[in-house]
Amino acid sequence: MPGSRAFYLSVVVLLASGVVRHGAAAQAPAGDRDASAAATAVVPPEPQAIEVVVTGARTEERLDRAVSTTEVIKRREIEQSGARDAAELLEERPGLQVMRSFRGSGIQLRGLDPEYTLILVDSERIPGQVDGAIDLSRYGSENIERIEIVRGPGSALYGADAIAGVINILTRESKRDFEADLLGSYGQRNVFDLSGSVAGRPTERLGLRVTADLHRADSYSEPGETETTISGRNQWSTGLRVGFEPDSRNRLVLRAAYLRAEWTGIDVDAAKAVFDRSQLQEQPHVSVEHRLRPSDRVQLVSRVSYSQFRDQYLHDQRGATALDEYQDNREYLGQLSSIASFELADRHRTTAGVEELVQHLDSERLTRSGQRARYAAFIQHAWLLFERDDSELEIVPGFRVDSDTQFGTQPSPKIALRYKLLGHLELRASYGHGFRAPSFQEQLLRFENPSVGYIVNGNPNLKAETSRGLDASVRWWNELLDLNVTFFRNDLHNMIAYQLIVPDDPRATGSRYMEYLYENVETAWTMGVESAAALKLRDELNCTVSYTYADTWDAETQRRIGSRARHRLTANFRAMHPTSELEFVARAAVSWGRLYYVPDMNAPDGERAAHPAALAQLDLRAAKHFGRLLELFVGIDNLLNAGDDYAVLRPRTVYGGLRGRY
Amino acid sequence: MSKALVVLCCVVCVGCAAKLKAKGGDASDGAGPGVKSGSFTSKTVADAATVTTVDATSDKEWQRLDLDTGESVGEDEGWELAFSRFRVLTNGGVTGDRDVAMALLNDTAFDAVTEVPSDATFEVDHEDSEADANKDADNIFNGPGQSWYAYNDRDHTLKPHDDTYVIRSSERSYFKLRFEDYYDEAGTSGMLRFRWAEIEE
Repeated sequence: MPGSRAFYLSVVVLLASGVVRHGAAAQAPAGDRDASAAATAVVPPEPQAIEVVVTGARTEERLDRAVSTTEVIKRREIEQSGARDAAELLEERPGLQVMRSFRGSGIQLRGLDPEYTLILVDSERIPGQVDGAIDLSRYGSENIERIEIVRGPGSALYGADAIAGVINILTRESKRDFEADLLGSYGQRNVFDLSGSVAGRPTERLGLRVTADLHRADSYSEPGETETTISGRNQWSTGLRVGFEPDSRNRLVLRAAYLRAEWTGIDVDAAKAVFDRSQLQEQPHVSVEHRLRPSDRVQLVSRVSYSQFRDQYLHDQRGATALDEYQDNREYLGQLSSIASFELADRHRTTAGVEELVQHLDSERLTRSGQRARYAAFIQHAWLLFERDDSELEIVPGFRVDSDTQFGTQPSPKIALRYKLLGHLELRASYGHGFRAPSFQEQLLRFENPSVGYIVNGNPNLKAETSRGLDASVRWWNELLDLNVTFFRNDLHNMIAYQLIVPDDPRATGSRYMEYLYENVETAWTMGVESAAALKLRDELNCTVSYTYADTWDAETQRRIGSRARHRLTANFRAMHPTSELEFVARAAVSWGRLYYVPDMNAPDGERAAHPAALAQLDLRAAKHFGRLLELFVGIDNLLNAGDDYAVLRPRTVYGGLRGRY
Repeated sequence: MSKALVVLCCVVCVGCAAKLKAKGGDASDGAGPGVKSGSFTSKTVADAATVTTVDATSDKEWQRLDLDTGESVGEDEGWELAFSRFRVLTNGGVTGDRDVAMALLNDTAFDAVTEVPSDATFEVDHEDSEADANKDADNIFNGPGQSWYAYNDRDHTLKPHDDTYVIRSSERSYFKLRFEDYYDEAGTSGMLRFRWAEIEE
């Protein structure tokens, strides 16, 4: 692996520096402990406390002062939603659209496909993109503390793939001396979930959490059909988190997890060949994080992590072996980062960091193993120009440079502004460059379809796709109502698409078939408006409604980009009756203005536009609480039985279960 | 700490599942019962016609058939038709030296052909034209603007045209031939099935 030696060397240096820092910090006075603990608390102990987020600045910052608007899905909301995994959690959130395929669920954000949104788990990249998307259904909701969603270009902090935004899934940690929870749920078509965790703090300095979960569901096919439209699922995972605070200034967090997911289904191809499809994914992960806080104004967080993702895919033809297909794809991802945040003066907050990433992919579909190493450095400075009782003006420039062994050097500047006035009105604007790294598939694929005579070849010389993104938002709020409107625009260049090449092209391999090659050819834009209104009558009654308009244009084909909806409306409603402890939650989403392109032999360019009807999804859930210890719940997912050929959804599913907590 | 990290890495690395194994298929050649000769499986049907299925799933090796004997033969022998995937060549013109030729009878039923029509126009393989996507010699089976199949670009399947061909063999006999399918019963592509019979000159 190129760079792997450098990576391991860096690991050793990082660990050694951690030990040195630890030794030095042990001498520090203990009086800082309270301030440090308060500042490093990831989740406030009480809802009234100031909320802290970590994604928008790559360090802790107050949510109300974050320059990047950050949407937070909190633990309580996760429990109330009834969602089983991160994909279901994000399904009915403002501006997000979950794209489901038999190989998993990805997020469409701001009119862009899943590969343009960076998915993080505990602030780190994860391996295992399948067809460009990280499958969000891998992450069971019982192990999620909260999800932070930052919309808009994030490459100035995160580098590749953060064009539409960043979604950070933060796992749970232990906050009390002892806690345990257990959730069991069963629904139609054997949708079964069982998860539990035990956590505690055996000593003041040590926190532990052990989690395990199991998710199962039958596959689904339309009545009378052999082919399944929804894959069966059999998934389990387990995780360990150990937090250790040797003194008030140092904190170590070790995370280890293993996930195994099996998906099964039946496919029937156009020639009536029947296949049993199995997909077995495994993802072991281990990471160590060291947090040093030598003073109230300085913090250094260093992380090292290693993950694998193995994806076995078997297409087993019934009655013959000629079309059997087996793939064993293995991805290895090592990451190393050190991020310093400091306040050199009042009103000046700086975050700077260095990162290293080493990635390796073995796949039969590639002409050779994919290998890459990437080094990056970034800095972001937040300067609070003025601060008065009811107004603040903050400007945040940022810059990052990535150097990749495959696509070269990529600079990503960004500037953002936040202006709060009149106490209840806030204006934000940002402009930033972003990029998406070409995937190993786009660089190294060799796909042959001999039955109809064409080949798709990867192109090792691909450059990164680049984007320029603009955001402008207005937020107004009072005790009852919170309104937010955001305009966004993304201009994308050098987009990667496959092109037919002529036999004389020097890059042609001399095959007798038609040859296609991935090239940086396309330009496109997406533009739209996101709006949301949150109404909070009391703690027990709240409602959020959002509307997103996202338009797209592919300049190469001179038409809208397909497989997406222009309009999306979402609504979340929650009511709790305090004396009876009955709770009701409704989540809804409607998409319309949907556009898909389908092959059509009679159309001039072989495709025609399809405009399917609006898609309306509605999930309901009711729960009876017995104090904090026990909760019984029933729910209906997809009450309206939404879904069609273009958006495959699990049919209406009635479920029920219980949750116990200690 | 670094020791613990190494141990953890080892633990997660060994936790790999067994390889997925196929169980739904068998080793059947997909051609069904019949007399086998190389990659060809033939059976005699009504009216002295023969239905032959060729396993042409390889896109690198050509399967060659001698219509005069009904046998699979080598490159230097008196074959008439060679198959690789959906491509069909004949042993004449730029491809071979046995002067095999063929004529296309558009929209003509197989049973309706009992002798070589007087207006049949025979052609041999000729140089590849750049007008088509492949790099094989052109002929009336595979050439610019004509082929034995219709390609459905919606589901990427091939379906034979409703045509009958007449083939002049290396032994100067005449055969009628009609393509029936590109897929076997299990749906495997490249399992070309055609019906053929000798006719009067």
